[in-house]
Amino acid sequence: MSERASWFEQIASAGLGATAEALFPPNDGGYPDCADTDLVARTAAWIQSLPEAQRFQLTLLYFGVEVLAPVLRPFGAGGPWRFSARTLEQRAQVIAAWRGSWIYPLRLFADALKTSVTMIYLAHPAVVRHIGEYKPWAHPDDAFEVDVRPIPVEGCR
Amino acid sequence: MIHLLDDVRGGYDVDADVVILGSGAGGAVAAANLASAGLRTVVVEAGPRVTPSDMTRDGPAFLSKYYWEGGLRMLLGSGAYPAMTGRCLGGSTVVNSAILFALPRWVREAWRDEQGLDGMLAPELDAAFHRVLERTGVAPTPMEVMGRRNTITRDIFDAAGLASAPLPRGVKDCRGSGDCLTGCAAGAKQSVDRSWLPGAVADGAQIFTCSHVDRVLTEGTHAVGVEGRVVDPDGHAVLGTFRVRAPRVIVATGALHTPVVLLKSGITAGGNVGATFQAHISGFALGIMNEVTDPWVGATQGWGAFSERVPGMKFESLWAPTALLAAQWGSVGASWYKILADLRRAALIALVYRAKVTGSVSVRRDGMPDARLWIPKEEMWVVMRELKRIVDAMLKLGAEYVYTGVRGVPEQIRTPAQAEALLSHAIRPRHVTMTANHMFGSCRMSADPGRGVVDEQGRVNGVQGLWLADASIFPSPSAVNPQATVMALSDLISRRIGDLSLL
Repeated sequence: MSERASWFEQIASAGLGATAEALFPPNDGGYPDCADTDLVARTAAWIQSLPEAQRFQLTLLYFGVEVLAPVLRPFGAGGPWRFSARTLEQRAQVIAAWRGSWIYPLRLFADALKTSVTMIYLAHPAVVRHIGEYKPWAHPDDAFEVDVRPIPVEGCR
Repeated sequence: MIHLLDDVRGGYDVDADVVILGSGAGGAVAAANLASAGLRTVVVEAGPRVTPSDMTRDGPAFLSKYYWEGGLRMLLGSGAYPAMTGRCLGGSTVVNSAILFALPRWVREAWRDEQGLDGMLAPELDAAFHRVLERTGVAPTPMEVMGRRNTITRDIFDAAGLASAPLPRGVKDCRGSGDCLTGCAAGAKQSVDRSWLPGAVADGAQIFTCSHVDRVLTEGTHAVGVEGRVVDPDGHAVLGTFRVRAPRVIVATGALHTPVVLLKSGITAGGNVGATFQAHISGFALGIMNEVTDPWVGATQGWGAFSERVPGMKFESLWAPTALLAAQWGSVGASWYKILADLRRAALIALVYRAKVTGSVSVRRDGMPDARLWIPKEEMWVVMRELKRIVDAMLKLGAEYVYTGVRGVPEQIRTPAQAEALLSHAIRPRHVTMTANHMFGSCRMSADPGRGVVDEQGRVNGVQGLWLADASIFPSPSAVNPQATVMALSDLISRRIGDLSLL
């Protein structure tokens, strides 16, 4: 969100943080989580890099998740609290419920929540390393960290 | 000369013999031909130049800068479908997989029959395809850059009973990075900024980047130039205005932006502009195989097949930045993490189908395209039937599970019995996760001015001195990747304008 955040942006920021924490919680599996990948700040920076229409759409998306959860209670949201006031499990359950909804716009809304932060999560070097991604040559001008190894020859037959 | 942002900041006002809007597949060919013919040629490109040092493997970062609408553009209609197009010098050829197929003869015959276009079977078009394919250096993807993701795709096709082969691509010394969608920093992909625009510049063409055309200028019924705004590609601030005066205007901004330019200029061609938009529809199967495939290396799209059962159905291996591909897949919360361990065994096959669809493009309030695509459910069922074929083949080869992104189907298909759900007639187009990256026909070509926007020579009906030279003029979907056809049609259109030989 922009440096001098409006009321709208502050609520959206809370929604973004709540979503990112819920989708990438601390875990026992050794997977990089929300904090390890600086996910909230990186997603906010990515949003700022977008054209105005997309910036507004994403800000509205996170504003919506923060304040609409109690409004959408009949559709799986449960509970009267703001999204960020719920536990991580409750937030994940809400998004999962919306993704499975018969209401198409609600499914799109929830898919957008998941897809946006997941995309930024997957682009972090810690995750790239964790999944074993590599490339066959080093790009000298690219700050994106990725291991370099040749393509296995046996795979090319 | 190529004018970058610092050169055009503050605006400009120039004269030319011809102004070309867009520097992608169509615009670049036109620029090369017309500059070689001795015309003072100006190209106006909305995006910035992107060089290897600008490219990054950080998918979201690259898309936000070099794709229209930050890579988040969606087509609405039957569903909400991502439509990713490049916004940079070279257009979508910088960010596509460089697959180039000549238009199949049966599609050329269909275009002739649908719209009375006798020239579709003429030797001049054969010559045009030959020229563009040769100059772009198209050849089958070499085996040494395939990687296991492509060769396991070959094995999957074999298991499905599909005759397959390496895909023909316009690359030289491909290194198998799988980076095509974020630009080829290795310089192997022969995108038009490498293969065509340098020749245009050498012959005197002037290319202005960061320049968004707002409208074609006309005096009476004659095009006399264009005007627009210089836009900072980073902050998107408007930095100035520009005007190019020319008695010949060629619009080559693509199936989404060309109708927008015309409509904003008050050119409707009897209501046909934007009225016949179409796109290939698609599906995909992401199989988690029983071996490591390291999907992030190997040619982005190295292996392909055509369905022998369904005309216009094509199958392709595919990879994209992992951040883009895996973002929608799977559940939410802690259980999602398990996917990370599976990614090393992924094989991804995309299905692309020349469906009978309808659509439209109009102008959004912010000046961007508002594109709608309507897909009959019966056409999506065709994709589902062929998708099941691929899913069954993946399972036969030992895939642990297959993800298709189709609602109502098990998220992880593990058995052929579960794959039967793909044949359900409860599936609707909005249930299918697909992208619509091959788009056409929004200003289609027709021998009947009442049914099209341009004639067989690309001339806009009712406006002298105005041509279109991109996929918007396709009479219907091409059934194959559209780049080569765009280039061939632009080649003929521009050669006629420049009085160059057609054979």
